[in-house]
Amino acid sequence: MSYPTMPLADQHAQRTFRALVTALSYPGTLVPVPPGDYGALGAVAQVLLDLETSYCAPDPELARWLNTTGARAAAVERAAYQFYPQLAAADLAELAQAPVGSYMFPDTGATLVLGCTLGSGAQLTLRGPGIADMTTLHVADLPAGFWQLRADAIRYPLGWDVILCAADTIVGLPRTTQIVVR
Amino acid sequence: MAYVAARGGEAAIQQAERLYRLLNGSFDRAFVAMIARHMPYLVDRVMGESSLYAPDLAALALAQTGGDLYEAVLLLRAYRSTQPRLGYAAPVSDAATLTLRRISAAFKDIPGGQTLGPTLDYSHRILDLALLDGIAAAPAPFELADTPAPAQYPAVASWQRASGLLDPLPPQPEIDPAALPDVTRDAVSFPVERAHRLQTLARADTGGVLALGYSSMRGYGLIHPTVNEVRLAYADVNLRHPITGEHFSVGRVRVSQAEVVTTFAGGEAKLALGFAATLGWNEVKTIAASMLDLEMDKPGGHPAHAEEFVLYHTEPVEASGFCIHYKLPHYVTYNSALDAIQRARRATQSPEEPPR
Repeated sequence: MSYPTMPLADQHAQRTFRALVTALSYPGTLVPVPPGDYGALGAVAQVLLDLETSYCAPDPELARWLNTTGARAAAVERAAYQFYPQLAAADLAELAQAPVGSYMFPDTGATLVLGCTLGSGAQLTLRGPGIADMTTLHVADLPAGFWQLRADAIRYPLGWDVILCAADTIVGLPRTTQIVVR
Repeated sequence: MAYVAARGGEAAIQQAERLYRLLNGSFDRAFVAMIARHMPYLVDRVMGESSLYAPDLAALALAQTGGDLYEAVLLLRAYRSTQPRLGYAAPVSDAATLTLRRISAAFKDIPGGQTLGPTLDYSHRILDLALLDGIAAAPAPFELADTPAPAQYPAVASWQRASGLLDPLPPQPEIDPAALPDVTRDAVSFPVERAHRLQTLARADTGGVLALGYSSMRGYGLIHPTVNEVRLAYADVNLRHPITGEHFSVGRVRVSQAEVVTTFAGGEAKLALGFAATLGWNEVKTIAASMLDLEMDKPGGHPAHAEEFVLYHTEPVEASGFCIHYKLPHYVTYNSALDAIQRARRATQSPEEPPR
């Protein structure tokens, strides 16, 4: 019996997809992803973007790279996936316009893919589906106001799903996860 | 949801599938190729209902399911859902298709003329029993006409629009194919967008569309339409080159379309048009669907011709799937029914009469 072998890029994509499933199923868990351009953020982008979806990335160089996936560039208030390798406090006003979905189609809420440093910085206490009781997570290099902005955007089932990306690790924070920052 | 989880039976399930394969016989690539070559209308029907134009894969699905159409469509739709979209084809106009057959029942001298093309419509329906006796009848050779028929034909409706019999088409803005609604991706809500309605009819169950369309034709409907045009054609799949921006053809697909007209146009003295098209050549489906398209615009009428009724109940995978799910254990449903019967019996039995 012989099986067709997948190209390396497809193998990486499959592992990254599996990592995303795990990360969003168990919020707060550090999940490794295969290496690639733009680190974990790039790996996530390669998997999530295709011809049928849209992205927003204020960084022009990153936007050019994302464009090679075939996805459409869209304004912040419409893009399905939004990429910020380094989210700055000045970006928050614009990010506040990212779609949160509608009651008919809450799935149209944006997925934010954010670069950050994991394992140091502010301590987050997480509760919600996929978490036994509670768990903690340390995140640095995100502006202080982001967590309040996220909390304000979520009116379940409306809201954003967040994927935090460090060098080679991702953490999923779906809109169901309640976060207390300390 | 009164189901129970069925446990065990793994060996029985395995043997059941092996028995199925044993009784149906094995097949190979050559057999699949033979289905694709010699059963084009069957293959077209499966491709149309699956929204996937892939003759070899449709033939494979038919072989693998022993010719069970609903299973074949399910296989092909499931496969389709795993495939990424590689591009968006440009819209194609009927007048630009390579048309082999284009007839009208409305009037004889339609612009471009009536072209019968390949059809058995006017032939005797007699089984060729001699073939089973090993006597293969050599078909009379096809004779080429002195002057070839045109490859392209204008739509009959265009002439009617120009003559003021039909309302003119609304202005057509430049269409970005990627922005078109897509019923294979979007949730449908009623009343549906026109694109969703036509796409749903295009992938609808042929038998289901015929049943509802026929009920309208027989008199449960409000209209008595005329077949304005039936067309079997090859349509170019035109993609836009990513660098030059030019459109180019990546291949052709078999398409069929039907237009019907009726005089019931909101009480006005003009014609109204019903339209349907599908991948593959399927005249019965497109004629029945175009009549339903016209019927669904009318207020009142029979519930079986209401948009929501038609589109929900002619969806082959959902309908067949719902039907066969009843084969799953419904022990709780059944037990609750038995409980109710027994309670009712106890309540009606007189105390001196012992229960039987």
